Parts: sequence; structure tokens; C-alpha cells
Amino acid sequence: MKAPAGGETERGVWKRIRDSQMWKSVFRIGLPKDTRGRLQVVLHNFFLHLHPVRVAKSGIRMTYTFCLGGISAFLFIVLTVTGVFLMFYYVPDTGRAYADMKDIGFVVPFGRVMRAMHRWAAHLMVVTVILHMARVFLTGSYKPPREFNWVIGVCLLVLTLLLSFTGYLLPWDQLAYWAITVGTNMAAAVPVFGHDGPLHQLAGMTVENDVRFVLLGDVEVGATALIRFYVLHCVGLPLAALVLMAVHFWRVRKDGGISRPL
Amino acid sequence: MSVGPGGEQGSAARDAGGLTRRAFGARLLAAGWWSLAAAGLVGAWSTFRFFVPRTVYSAPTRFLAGRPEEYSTGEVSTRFLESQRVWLVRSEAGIYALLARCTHLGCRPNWIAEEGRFKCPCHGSNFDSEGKVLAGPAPKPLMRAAVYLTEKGELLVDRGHVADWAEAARDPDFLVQVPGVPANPG
Repeated sequence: MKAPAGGETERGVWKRIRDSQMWKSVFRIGLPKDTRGRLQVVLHNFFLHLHPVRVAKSGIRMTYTFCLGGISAFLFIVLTVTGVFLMFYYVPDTGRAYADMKDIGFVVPFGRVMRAMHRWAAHLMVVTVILHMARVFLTGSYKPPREFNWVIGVCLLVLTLLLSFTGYLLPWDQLAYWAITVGTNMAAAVPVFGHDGPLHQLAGMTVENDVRFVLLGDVEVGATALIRFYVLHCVGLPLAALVLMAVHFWRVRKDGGISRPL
Repeated sequence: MSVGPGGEQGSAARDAGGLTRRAFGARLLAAGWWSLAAAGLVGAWSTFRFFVPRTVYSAPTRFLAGRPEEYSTGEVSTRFLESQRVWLVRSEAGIYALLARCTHLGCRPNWIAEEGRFKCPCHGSNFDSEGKVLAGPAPKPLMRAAVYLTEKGELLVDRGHVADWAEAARDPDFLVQVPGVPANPG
């Protein structure tokens, strides 16, 4: 059999590294030898601290949560990484956007993989977020004390849809152009604040000052709309989602841990 | 050998020459980790590759610059200054290409035809039409780019192949000798 790892048998270079000040400055706790040690590792690690140090046995039953929230969060990370990669080649200029998108697909090494990952993860995230919401509803996990976290979750759903919508314009092809034309025309049809909606006279709404105009920065989808949607898609909405996700995960812990069968 | 969990089933499996349940699980787990590591390597490599573009949109470093007859003797041509940052100069000896980059700190000097010299606006370095330093802080003459004559009789400048004064003087790639009197086209 193999020699036991760790403990008294370790020596040589590995031990020298582990005893060095540099190593110890990063890892405060040594390799865990018992339950208490393992708790300490989780407690003292930034990346692991998201997890509770103890998990109820029923909390690891996968068929209760189906990991839908976790999958959504994972997809958000995939989207952030691939999205940042795409930003290295994509310029939100009406003269370049479409060509840059095509270049990513046909010229940039592995560009098509990155774009496909971004696209599929985006579609999938909309699906998993909605399924996550359905699961929370069906298991009654929105009930007190988790009612505020449900509200944050609804905000995150809206942000997911907005991210999806703003990303839709960026390829700057016919599909993108007309989809955003239709989508923002819907905004023009809202009551009071859209120039096409009922009661728009109340707020004095015209084509040039209603909510659609603010969204597009123009009366039609054009250069201003492209840069607006780009900035919202790459900076504004992800930042808002990040803050809300931090609160969402924190509340999961504070509201009694992951919801589980009674 | 210790008896693993799985008990009699396990020993039955061993007797049959197969794997115990635990050993099979361990192998499966190891295979999982190895595939994860392999996927990580492939991912890291493709990520690196993603940032090395196959195509760039800046002007090509090799470009055709017309026929020698299009340049008159003594002329410092600014035809490719904007697009390629290169002056083509025709002297008695032939045609050569000067990089429009001051050897002091990399600014772009201007050709002042009346004075017959290049003047750098940044720190006042002056060069003559051969690129030799006349004044100012520039430590070296202007760099040169390689010039060739193609079979069709066109000048080909290679901005990717540059040399300083001494190298260019030795290397025939940096001067296209134009034979005889300048011929008039047509």
C-alpha cells in the first residue's frame, strides 16, 4: 500500500515549504487531522467560508434542491469569465460589432468555443434560475424566515432576464436589431411612461422623452443603444447581480441554512 | 490483506477475479480527477491560445511602394508616412526606406524640405536625408527598413526587417540600386 500522507512521516522539501514563513502566511491552519481541524479549514478560508462548517445530513439530499441555485451561480461565473474573454475582441461600435462577432467565430483561436460557452451558459442560466424559483416555491422555501430572500431572488431573476436581453443586441445582426426594436417598443407601450401607452398624456410623453427613449438614448436602435446595452450588459447589471447574490447567499446562511426536508 | 466494506460480496468479487466495490469506486474517483486535470490543461492552453490572434488589422509590415521611376532623385517621399510610418528616399546611390521614428524617444520627426533635414518636434533632434544625426539628443541615425525590387519591377518595403546605420551599410537588402538615369515612364 501507499505510504500514509502527512503526519510524522513527512520530511524533505515538502516539509521545508510547509514550515516556511511564506506558506504559513497564506495558510494559517495546517492540514486537518481531526473534525475540529476540518472545521477550522473551512472557517479560515475565504473561498470555503461560503459553506457552513456543518451540513445537516438531509441537506445533502440532491433530489430536494437539485443544486439549481448552485448551478445558476456556477453559470454566472462561466458567463463572467467567457464574457471578459469576449470583451478582448469585441468593440461595441456599429461599424465593427458584427464583424468582431464573426471574427470571434471564424478567426480568433477557440473564439467560437468561448462565444458558444457564453451563449449556451446564458440560455441555460435563464432556465436554471426559473427552475430554481419553481423548486423554492414547490418546497415552500419562500416561507418565513426566508421571505426576504425570495424577494432578492425575484430581483436576481429580473437581472438574469435583463442580462439576457442586453446581451441579445451585441452581435448586431438582424435578429439582434429587430429583437431589441420589438423589446423596447414594449417599453413604449407601458402606461404613463411610454409614449404609446395609455395615459401617456398625463406625463407628457412623446417619442423623444419616454422610457423607450431613455433605454435607447435615441428614437431608434442605433449607436447609442449599442453602447448603452454593452455597458449595462458588461458592467452595470453584473455588478448589481453580484451584490444581490452576495446578499442572497449570506441570507441563506443567516435564515437557517440551506432549505431541506423537515 | 484487509477486508474492505462490501463484505462477502467483495470477497466473492475478488474470487471471481474482479474488483471490490471500494477499489472500483477509488478508480472511478481517480479517473474523475485525472479527467478534470486534463480538462483544466486543455482549458488553460486554449485560453492562452485565445489571446494570440491569428489575424490583425494593422497595416501589413510588407507593402508594395510603386516603381522606382515614381521617385525622383533627391526626393524624400512622404507617401507612406501616414500608413506605414516610413519615408522612401531616392539618392544618387539608390532607394532606401527610413523609419519615421526618432532614435531618442520614438517620436515622429517631420521632413522640412526647405532645410533638407528631419526635425523631431519632441526634443529637437535633427537628421539629414540619410538619417544621420545633425543636432539634438538622438544617439543614433534613423533606422532603415529593407527594400527589395520585385520581378515585376516594383519596390517592396519590409517594415519587419529593420537595421541601424552600420548594418544597413553592409546589407544589400537596405538599398535598391536604380540603374542609370531615371527613366521617364510612358
